[in-house]
This record gives sequence, C-alpha cells and structure tokens, in this order.
Amino acid sequence: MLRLLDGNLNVRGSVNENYARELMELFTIGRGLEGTLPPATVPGDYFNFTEQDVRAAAAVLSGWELDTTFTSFDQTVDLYTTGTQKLPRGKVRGSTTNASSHDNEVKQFSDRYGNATIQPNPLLLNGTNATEESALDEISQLIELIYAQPETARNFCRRIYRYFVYHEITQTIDDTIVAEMANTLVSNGYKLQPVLEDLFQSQHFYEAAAGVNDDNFGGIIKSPLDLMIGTLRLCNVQLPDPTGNATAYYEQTGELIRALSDMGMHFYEPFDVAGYDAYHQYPIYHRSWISTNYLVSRYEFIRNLVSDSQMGGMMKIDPVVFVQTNISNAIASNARSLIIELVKYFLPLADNLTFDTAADDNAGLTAERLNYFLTAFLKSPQIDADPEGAWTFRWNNPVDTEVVRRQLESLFNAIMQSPEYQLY
Amino acid sequence: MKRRNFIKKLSLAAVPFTLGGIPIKLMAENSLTRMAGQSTNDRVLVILQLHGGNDGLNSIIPVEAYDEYYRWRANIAIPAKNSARKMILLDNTLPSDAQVGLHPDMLAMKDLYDRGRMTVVQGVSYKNNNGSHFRGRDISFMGGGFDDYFSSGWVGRYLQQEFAPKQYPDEFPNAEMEDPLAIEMGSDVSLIFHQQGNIPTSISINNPESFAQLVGELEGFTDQGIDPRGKPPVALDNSPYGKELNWILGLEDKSQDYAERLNEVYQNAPASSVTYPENYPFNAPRGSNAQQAYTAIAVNCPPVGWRWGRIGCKDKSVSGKTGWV
Repeated sequence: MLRLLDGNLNVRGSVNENYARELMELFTIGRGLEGTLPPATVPGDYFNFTEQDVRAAAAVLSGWELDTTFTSFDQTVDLYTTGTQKLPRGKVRGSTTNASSHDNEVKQFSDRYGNATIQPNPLLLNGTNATEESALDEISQLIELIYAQPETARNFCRRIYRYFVYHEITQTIDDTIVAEMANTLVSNGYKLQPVLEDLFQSQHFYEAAAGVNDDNFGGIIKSPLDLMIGTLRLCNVQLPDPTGNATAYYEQTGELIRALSDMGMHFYEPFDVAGYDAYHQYPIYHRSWISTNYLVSRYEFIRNLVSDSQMGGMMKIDPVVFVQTNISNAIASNARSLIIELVKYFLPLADNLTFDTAADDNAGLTAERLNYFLTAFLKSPQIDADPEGAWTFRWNNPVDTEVVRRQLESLFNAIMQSPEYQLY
Repeated sequence: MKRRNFIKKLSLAAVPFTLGGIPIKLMAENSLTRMAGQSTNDRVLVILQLHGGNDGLNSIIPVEAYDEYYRWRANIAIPAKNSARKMILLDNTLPSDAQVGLHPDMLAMKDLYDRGRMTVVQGVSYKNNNGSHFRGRDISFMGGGFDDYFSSGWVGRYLQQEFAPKQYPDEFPNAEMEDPLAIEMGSDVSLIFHQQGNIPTSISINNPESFAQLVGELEGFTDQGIDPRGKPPVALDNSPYGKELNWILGLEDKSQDYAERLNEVYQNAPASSVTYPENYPFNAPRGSNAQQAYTAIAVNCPPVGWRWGRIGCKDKSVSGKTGWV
C-alpha cells in the first residue's frame, strides 16, 4: 500500500489520502449495501464514514516510506510464529526514535466513529517526538477503531456471502443471514473459519426458496481460475515437476496464465485497486467473467485440453483414461448411464436425471439436454445403425479404440463447453 | 434525434488519443477502424474510456489562473512560455476565464478543435460527490444521480429506447438491424452498455476473424438447432442457477448470431487508408526524456479499455437500410 496507494507520499503537512480512503471504502467498512442507504444530505458524509475520517486516518498513516532493503524483516523467523515481525513492511521516515514525518497530533474522528480520537501513546514517545513504535501503535488503534464498527463485520460477511452463495443480497438477507454471519465473526475475534462452518451447515446454503430443492446450488459463475484449476484437478492433469523439470513447468504454467488472461483474469494483476470486478462491481458481480469474447476463450480452453487433434496446448485430458479410472465398466458400457455419471461429475445440478421427456419435471437437466449429449456422443456423425449397442460392444471388447476416443472427446466437449459447466 | 443533438445532449467529448502499449497498436490498424470504414456514412459513435489516472490539469491547463496553477505544482507544471514544450493555447477567441492551454503533445487535438471537431468538458462531477473513484465511475456509466443505483448504463438504455418496441436480445438481429447494437473492445465488461434485466446490448470482441472461426468450430457453439441450448428446467428458471444460466446462454446465442456478420463486414472492408502514429508522444524529439518517460508509462500501464459503439438508427433516408449514428 505504500507503493500502490501512495502511502510513501503521505507525510505530515502534506497528507496523501489515497490509502486511508481505500482502506475504509474498499478493504474494511465499505459503502454499505448498494442502493439501501438513505441519500447523503451533508457533503462529505458517506454514512459509514466521512471525509473527516479519511483525513484523520491519513494522518494516522503518515510518515512511512518503502523499506527497499527489508531491514524490518527477519527472514529467518517462521511466518507462523506469533509475536514476531513476520511480513515485510515499510519503515518510518527519519529514524526509529524520531519519526519526523509522522503527524503526531491528536486525530479527531467524526460521529460516524463515535467522535473517537487517536493519539500517540505518551509512553512510546521519545520526548515529544513520534517513534516507529508510537506510529505503529497508532495504526493498531486505527484498525481497532474500524473493526469495532458493526458495519465492518457486516461488509466482510457480504463479501463472503457473494463468494459462496449468490451475488444478490436483499435487505432481508442482509438483516438475517449476513447479520448472523457478522455476529459469528465478531464473537470469534474476526476468525473466518467459524463463519464458514456456520454458513456451510446452514439450511440457507442449500436451499433458499421453499419448494425448490438445491435452490442455491449452481448460482456462482466460476472465475477463470476456478474453471481452469477445477478442470485440471478433476481430470487429474499433472504439471511437470517444478524442481526436476523447471523449464517445462514454467512453459506450461505460462500457458495457463495466458489462457487466464484470454478469459478476462489477469492473474495477480487485477485491473483495479478494488480487485477483480466479479467481487465488487455492483450490480453485475460475477457476470463480469462472461462476455461473448471470454465465453469463446473458455470453450476454446476446454477444446484444447480435450481434443487430441488440437496441438495448441501442452496439457491434455485423456477422456478414455478418465472413464476407465473413475467409472465402472458396468456403467461405462451403457451410453446413457455413462452420460448421467459424467454429468454428475462435471455439472452442478444432476438430480433425478432421465432421458424420458415425460418424466424430467424434477430433474436438474432437461431430458432434451441429455438426449443432446447422446447425439453429440454417438450420432455426430452417426457411423452405426445401432449407436448405443455399438458403443457397448466397443467398450466391452475393446475394439476400435480410435472411435471410442473420438466419441468420448465429443461427449466431453459437449458437456464441458456448456453454460452449465461455467456454474457451480 | 440528430447525431449532433444526441452528442450535445449527452455532453460527450470525443478524445482521440490513448496511452499504453496495446491501444497504440490497436489504433494503428485494428479491426474496428477497418469495419467502421464500411459504414455508408459517418454515423459511428466511438467512446474511449481511459482507465486510470490522467492528470487533467496538465492536459487542459487553466490560462487565467496559470499563476495559481503553477504555485501548486511548480515541479510538474507545463511551462506557459519560453520553452520548446510549452502549452498550446487552445483558442484565444474565448472569454479570458474560459481560456485553456493544451499539453504540448496534444497538437493533433488542437487541430481537431480548430476544425470544429472537438470540445472539452471540464470539471465533470456529480452532486454530493462521495470521493470514491469507483462510485464516480459507476455513476458516469449508469448515467444516474448520486443516490441512484441503476443496473443499466446510459448507452444501454438509449439503445433500448431507440429500437423499441423490439427487445434485445430476443428480437435481434432482424431485417432492419442486422448488426450488433454496440461493440466493445478491451479487457472488461462495461456497465455502460447494460440494460435493465437482461444481457448487455454490446458484443465484446477483439478480432472478428478469429472470433468467427472459433464460434464456427467450437463444440459449445455447434449445438444450435439440435438441442434445447442448455435451457434450465422450467422449475429452476427463477433460481440463482436458472438466472445465471440464462444470462450465459443469452451471450452464447448472440455470439452465434453476430460472429459471421462481423467477420463479413470486416473481410469486405479495405485496409484503412489513414496512417496512424506508431509511437507516443507523437511529436516529441526521438530519444527525448519525454519520449522515454512515455515509453515507460506504456510498458507499465495496464491496457486502456476502449469501446466502440455502433449505434444503429432507423432513419432509412440515409442509406436505404440501417444507418449508423
């Protein structure tokens, strides 16, 4: 943040507010649930915080610069040992005993923060001079102050909810589910695990509206990374050994990172300081991942992995090995059972599947959709008078391995180059 | 509505330059300039969004308040005189308090202005500005007030009205409008083209040729006509799953609807006859500090998103068929 949000330009007398503003707006207390706050009536009052609070926080954060030689960082210390300086950070301007560019006055916050003040701890000062210790202590006070606001926990929990459940949060959900999550977060000292455990065990996580099973399932659009890593892991695609074969490893991961860019995710380099649009951009959120262009790139990624004829990618899914490894012969040899089994592996909703159009009212996919998969699998092109019988014969004996491979590639492409596969 | 009125009404400023490695190349010769050349008239509205922080005060420099400007930023101020790289006085016929200078690299924009093709809108903001970059950007895309939270953008709404009662995407393309309503290039999906309750009115694309080729051959797109296109079971239509699935399907459909048309227009277009500059700054001496500095910016900046709206109009008197705004 010293670099990205100009913290290193923030000095006493010439305060730079960039980091202080984004600390509140983007990273902690936030701007509230979009569209629900009453319109501001006083200029500079943003309901959760005010312009005065931004300035006061900027003063708290003043007087630091980059520590380009990592003097404050002991690389021999285990990152997970408590009570030690673990991560690289900046250093105060001046010296540790005279933080000369830090604003050492009392910082007055607005009534949005209960008219709180932050001031240096006299015990940590060097005479009247600020020290590195006193400046750090003020930052701790600031974080405590922000985290003491109920809205901060609420804002974190909205983000968790959007990430795991769905992007739409109504006022009712905010006042019930999100409020409960926030209570759990606060009462557990801001530890995330209890919140996630509660959420994953809640009825709401599995069904929201009455009468529709699994209602909240499949409502999240996979990020490019979810799509990629999920596919590679599910299909057990191995990367080269990074130590034994570093060149190949970096070639292949480089290829993956390029594919992520094509799908709209610049890996570790989100376009905005707010992060990827999918996680903050009201009102579309995760729909930002899907444009006509990005969808083509997603389908192309699958095609390059699955189709043996595609020389584009170095990594391959072998659909024959996948079926042999994961699915019993009894199921695999029956074309319809095989489709249903693969759909359960790959697509989010796969309950009560049937090929019978008269009986699919409670199914996760329509019977027409399953019949389409059957067409893509064995009938495009159709080379046998009895395609399903021929499949069983080829799989059981086994003969015509190239036909088997091509047919399975068609099926995998049909199932994974689909709107359904973009969801989970 | 006449094109000039439309632009006037929306206070739209066309800004024909860009920074950053990719866009310079894009400008030099790209699919959109080529397709735009196929238009039977000049009715093409291009919106360039410069993403990130541009120093507005060093682009458009106050003349009457120059001393104050200089006092606040002596270290980076653009010289008013006595320098090869002093500011360019835009228009000495303006009232003195409206006089502005341009950054010395904005020669081409000065030329546009002199030919009556450019206007500058300064100090754009909104009432009760809350200081948030993100909220400010959303408001400019949504075209609303400080307390509005629209799920649509102003161009999306304009296109909806322009083509009403026909509804996008279901009733497009059609005989009157066979082209996409808008085309979007760059690295994100702008709110500006969104409409209420359905997919955006734009087609996002970089290269029409490879786009058409992939849409033509990928299995995910070859299923039209032989399957129900992944429509969710009716019972799930209003579930989160159903809503997201229908969103993705809508965009999949439009890719198929427009891929060939875009490629056809692109292939029929001659290469651009305009020579675009390859390097920035365009008139700085080679090897000058300024050029090196801007090269560094070009390398370090993320690509600038840019959008190109082809907005159809129903005024058939113009070309006998769908025209361009």
